Amino acid sequence: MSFIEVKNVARYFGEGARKVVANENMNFTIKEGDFCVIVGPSGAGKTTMLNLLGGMDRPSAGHILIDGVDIAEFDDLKRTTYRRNDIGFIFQNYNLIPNLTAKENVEMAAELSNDSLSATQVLTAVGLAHRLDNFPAQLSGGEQQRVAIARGLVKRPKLLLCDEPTGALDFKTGIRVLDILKQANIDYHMTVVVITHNREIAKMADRIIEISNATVRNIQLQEHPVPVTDLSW
Amino acid sequence: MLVKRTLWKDTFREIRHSISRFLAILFIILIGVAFYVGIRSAGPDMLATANKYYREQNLMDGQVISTIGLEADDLEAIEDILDENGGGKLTPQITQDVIFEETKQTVRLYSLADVSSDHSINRYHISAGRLPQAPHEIALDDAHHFAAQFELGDTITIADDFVKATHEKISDDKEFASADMTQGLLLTQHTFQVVGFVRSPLFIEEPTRGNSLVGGGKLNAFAVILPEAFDTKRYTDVYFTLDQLMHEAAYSTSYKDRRDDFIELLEQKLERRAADKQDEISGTLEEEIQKGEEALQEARTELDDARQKLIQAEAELKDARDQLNAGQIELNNKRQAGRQQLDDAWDEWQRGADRLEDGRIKLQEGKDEWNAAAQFLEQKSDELTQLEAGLKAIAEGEEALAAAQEELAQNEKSLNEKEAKRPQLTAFLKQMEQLGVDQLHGFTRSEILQQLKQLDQARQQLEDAKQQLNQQQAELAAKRQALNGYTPEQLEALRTQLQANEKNLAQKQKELEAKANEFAEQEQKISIAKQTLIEQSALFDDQIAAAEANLAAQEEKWAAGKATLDEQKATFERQSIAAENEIAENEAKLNDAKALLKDLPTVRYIINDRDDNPGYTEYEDNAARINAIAGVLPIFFFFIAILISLTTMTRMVDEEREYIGIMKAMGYRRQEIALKFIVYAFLATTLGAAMGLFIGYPLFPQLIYNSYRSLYNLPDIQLDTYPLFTATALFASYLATVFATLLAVLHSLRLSAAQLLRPKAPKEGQRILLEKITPLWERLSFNYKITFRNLFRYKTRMLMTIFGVAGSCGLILTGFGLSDSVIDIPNLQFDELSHYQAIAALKEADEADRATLEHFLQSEEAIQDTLSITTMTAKTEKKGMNTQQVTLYAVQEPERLPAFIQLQDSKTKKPLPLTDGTIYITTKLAELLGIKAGDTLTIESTDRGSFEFEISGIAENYLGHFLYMTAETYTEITNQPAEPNLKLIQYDTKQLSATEFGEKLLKQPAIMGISNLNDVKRSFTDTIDSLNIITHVLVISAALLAFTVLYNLTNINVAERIRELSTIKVLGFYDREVTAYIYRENIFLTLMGIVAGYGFGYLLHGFLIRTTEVDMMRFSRHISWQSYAMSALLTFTFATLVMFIVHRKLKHINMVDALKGGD
Repeated sequence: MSFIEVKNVARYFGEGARKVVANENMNFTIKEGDFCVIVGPSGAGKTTMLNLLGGMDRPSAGHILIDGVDIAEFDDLKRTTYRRNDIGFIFQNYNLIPNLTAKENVEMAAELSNDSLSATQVLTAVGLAHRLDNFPAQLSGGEQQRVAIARGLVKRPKLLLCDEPTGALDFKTGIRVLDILKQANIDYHMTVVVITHNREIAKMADRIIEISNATVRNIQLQEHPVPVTDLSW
Repeated sequence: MLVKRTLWKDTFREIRHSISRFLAILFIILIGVAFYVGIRSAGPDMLATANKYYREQNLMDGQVISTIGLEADDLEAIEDILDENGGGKLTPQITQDVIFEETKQTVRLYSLADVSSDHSINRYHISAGRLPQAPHEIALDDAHHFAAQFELGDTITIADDFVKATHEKISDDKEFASADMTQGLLLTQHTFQVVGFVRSPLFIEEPTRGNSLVGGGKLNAFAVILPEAFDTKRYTDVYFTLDQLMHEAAYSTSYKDRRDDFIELLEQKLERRAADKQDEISGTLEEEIQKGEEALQEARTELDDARQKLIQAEAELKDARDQLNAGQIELNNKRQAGRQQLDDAWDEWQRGADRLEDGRIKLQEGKDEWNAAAQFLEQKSDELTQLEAGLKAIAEGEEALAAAQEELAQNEKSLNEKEAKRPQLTAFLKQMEQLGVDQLHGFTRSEILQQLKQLDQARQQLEDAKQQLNQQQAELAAKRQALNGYTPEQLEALRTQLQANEKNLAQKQKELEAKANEFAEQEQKISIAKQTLIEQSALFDDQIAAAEANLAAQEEKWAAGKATLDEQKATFERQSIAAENEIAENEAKLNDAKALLKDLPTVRYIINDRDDNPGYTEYEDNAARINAIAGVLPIFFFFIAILISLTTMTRMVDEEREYIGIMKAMGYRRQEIALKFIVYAFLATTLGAAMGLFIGYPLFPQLIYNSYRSLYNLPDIQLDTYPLFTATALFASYLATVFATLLAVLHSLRLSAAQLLRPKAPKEGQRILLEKITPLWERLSFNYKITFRNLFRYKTRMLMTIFGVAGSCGLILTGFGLSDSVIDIPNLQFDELSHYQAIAALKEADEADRATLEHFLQSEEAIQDTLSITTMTAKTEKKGMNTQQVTLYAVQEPERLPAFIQLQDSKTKKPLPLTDGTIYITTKLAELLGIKAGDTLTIESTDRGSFEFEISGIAENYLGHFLYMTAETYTEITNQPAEPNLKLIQYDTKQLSATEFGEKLLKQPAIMGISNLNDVKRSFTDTIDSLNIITHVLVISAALLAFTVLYNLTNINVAERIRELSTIKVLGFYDREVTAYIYRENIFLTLMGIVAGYGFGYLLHGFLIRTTEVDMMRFSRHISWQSYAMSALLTFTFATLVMFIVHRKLKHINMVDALKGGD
């Protein structure tokens, strides 16, 4: 059984004439340890899918099985617990707590779980040992994103969801970030799902899911993903 | 503006989308405005209500009472004074306090003035029934507790003492009844029938009716009857209204000023009048006394005179007696002498008379002789005469005869002529006979017969005449013969001889005559002499008789006189006794009148005005208190409201940053972009303000007024809007929202479109001061580190929240504190500090009365103890402070004072001992004057001058201003003896009720009036209770405010940090953890706010206390710990309440939407 199973998931917004179909007839699976990239044009429904996977949203129809558990049935509380324990989320615009230092930001996430990694350790792992006590405002975009990743990883989630992680970064920094993600994927055997509209990034994925017009167009498996450093856009 | 339809669309849509923000602003402006205009207009509304009521019922501007009553001339005088000052109206009245038999209540009876006039003063408002129309009818006060005892148609009986028929006291001279008219009037009716219930504008306060000198000292109610029911011709008082005050609002400064000016004038004039009247009355009495004395003197003098006269009369009578006796003797003497004289005279006369007789005889002889001679001569003369006569006669006769014979011849002739007719006549007759007629040729038978007869007759006559003549002739012849042939010459010679003899005789006769005359003279003389003598004798007899008669008469008179005198004496004796009695009586009356003069009541005109009506000034005070509060509180409210709306609008502008950027990028001008926000703010404010005005103006005044409703019997509140308040409120509101919005928008608009489109750089995080305290910082849990960091990150909002919370908490604390400050006072003042039940004022010293009083006080069981005090009222002035009335207590026995009045230091509560030289002043007065121990206080008494006192300490006191010292000290400083004129009395209220006590004590002549401390306490408590409503209003409004502030600010807080909150939600924070994230901050802010609020509340409370305190009162400055606790508790509760609501909101944050951005 796949780690992630999305079955006939649909997500609608609004009603009647104003009904927006964000996702419809979504069906795919993701294996544990996959580095999956969901790619598609703007407005395809990628982010929606990610939100559904991350337990931040509830599907209008269908089932989402994560490690055998259908999170589509979850109520708010269960979903929060799910997020708390099993998910790490990385945003396009980092969303760090501005009032906390890099270390504190990571610690904040670490405190939620009993068997978290050490914040310092993780931050060091992402190469920010020298930036532990800086506030986000004092960090560059890439550094902030790395902190966010550290924050995402520190809980040792089952799933790391990344929404356009490189969207706000330049090419070089972007590569760095993707590299960390890939490392995490390898080192921690973490399932990573990356949303992007950048086809180039999709090249590094184990699995590529193409979404457009609210539905899956194509699923592609790559035996030999391109190494991160070989990407360029 | 038809500017850009879409702009408007967007604006209104924005309102719909952020309706809670819109409503928040609306609501907060609503509260601010409502509270502001509501509370501010409460005071003026209250005064307007009263003013309207006073105007409708034509409440008097003043009242003049006279100690001796008012008559027409008094009323005229007052009317004149009114006219001189712009005109006015009068209503004279008779007032008398009586006791109702059934309920033993003291009721003031008013006579009903002319109801028909539109200008009747103090018009009654009829609650039920009607006003009395007959002397036995009565209308009662509609005071709740009083009126509940009676129904229409009930019969009221007046206590005997007040009814003429049953009154035992024999009233003195009605002109000057007892010193105080209000004690002396009687009623003509014993019972009355209740026909109606009324309210009077004189008594606006429901329970109090003032004091009375009748009964227990407290007046329970009033009632209205007709003037005929009073047994008096005088009025006791007169009410007046002044035209110039008609348009002045009651309680306004201009009213007071004008009224005071007039009353001063009136006082002056009436003082003069009083003095005049006093002189008049005492003058009249003095005059009467003087007249009485004069009359008495006269009477006495009269009596003496009368007595004197009698004595004199007696003396005179005695003299008369003596005189009479003398007279009698004189008479006798005279009689004798006179008699003698007369006898002598008679003898002499007799001799004369005899002589006369002789003469007479001689004369007679002579006369006889002569007579004989005369006779002879006469005879001869006669003879001669006869002869002469006869001769003459014959001659004459012959003459006559001749004549007659001639005549006869003529007659015969004529007759013969006539005879000629006879045959004719006879012929006629025959004819007639033949013809058988009676008439012929113009003759009748009878005529003819007659003529024939006549002829016959004439013939006859003729014949007779002839015969006669013949006779005469014969006679004459005879006579001639008789004469003897004497010839006339012979006769003549004879005559001559005769004549010579006659001459001789005549001569002799003359001689005789002469003699006779002589004799006659003599005779006459004698006769006269005799006559004289007779007359004299008679005269003498008469005289004597007269003298005797006179004497007799005099005797009679004397006897009569004596009899009269005896009578008079007897009468005099009787009358003098009566007179003496009368004199004694009159003397006694005179003494009474003199005594009356001494006891004459002082003529005084007492002028009262509206301020003397129970409850009148208190009402104003209450309104003033509210005004004071209204001047302060709503401002705070408003201020906070403004702050919140400012924050909200600024937040809005922040949130719409992108919008502004887009609009700017599109090319919209600044004013077009600003329009949305301006309109938003304007609409919210206008709606909020409009509703606030709509709610505030009626609601708060009603609320506040209704709390006073039970105390006052005024009509429904007169609600009004006040343009000033409305304008201020609107101005402030618009300033807060629209203006603030404008500023914020313009501030944003300064940035370029590009800048605006970019998200606002989130506030930088930074280390806070607290972190430096490493040991502390390290111990803090992560959550608290974040909390603290967050707190100090948004400094403005932090301060604003603290400020808002502090304001609200402070207001709540003030509310509770107000309650604290006043609630204890009655107990403190009347239970802790004062230990007596009543104060009795004493009349000026009358030894006997005082002794009676002392005896009463000693003997009355229920009375436990009394203390004598010399009291004096004075005033003290200082610039910038109202003139304060100070009561001085000089204590004779200072060691006994603590049992009655506890003098303790107002700060330390340590007892202050009263000894000679120590002078204590009460707390409030010290405060007002800024006096402390060692300073000098100057007081001024109206009739005794001003004095200085060195203050030794300040005594705790809450009502009134007092100065305490010993009698010694008093005398030392004022140079006046310390005459006790006040008594503090402790009595057992269980044994003796206040009314009973009052009744008994008032009977004492030495007592002028009493005051029951419990009553004072109760009225004081009433005032205080009225403050409760303010407390409630305050607390509730502050609570609302607290809630709104916290909610609003928290909302803003959340909105601004939505991203952050969404992130942690994504991270997997449970809902409660998310809420707690915010809540921790809020708790700290609330805590700090409460602490600040304590400080603020303490100050505000202090301020309010000082403002709502009347000069005479002092409220405690103390706020209880419970109040502090309650304020904190309430604030926390609201904070928690807010969090509950926010929690729900946070729960529903759409993380997805919130985290979107930059996509």
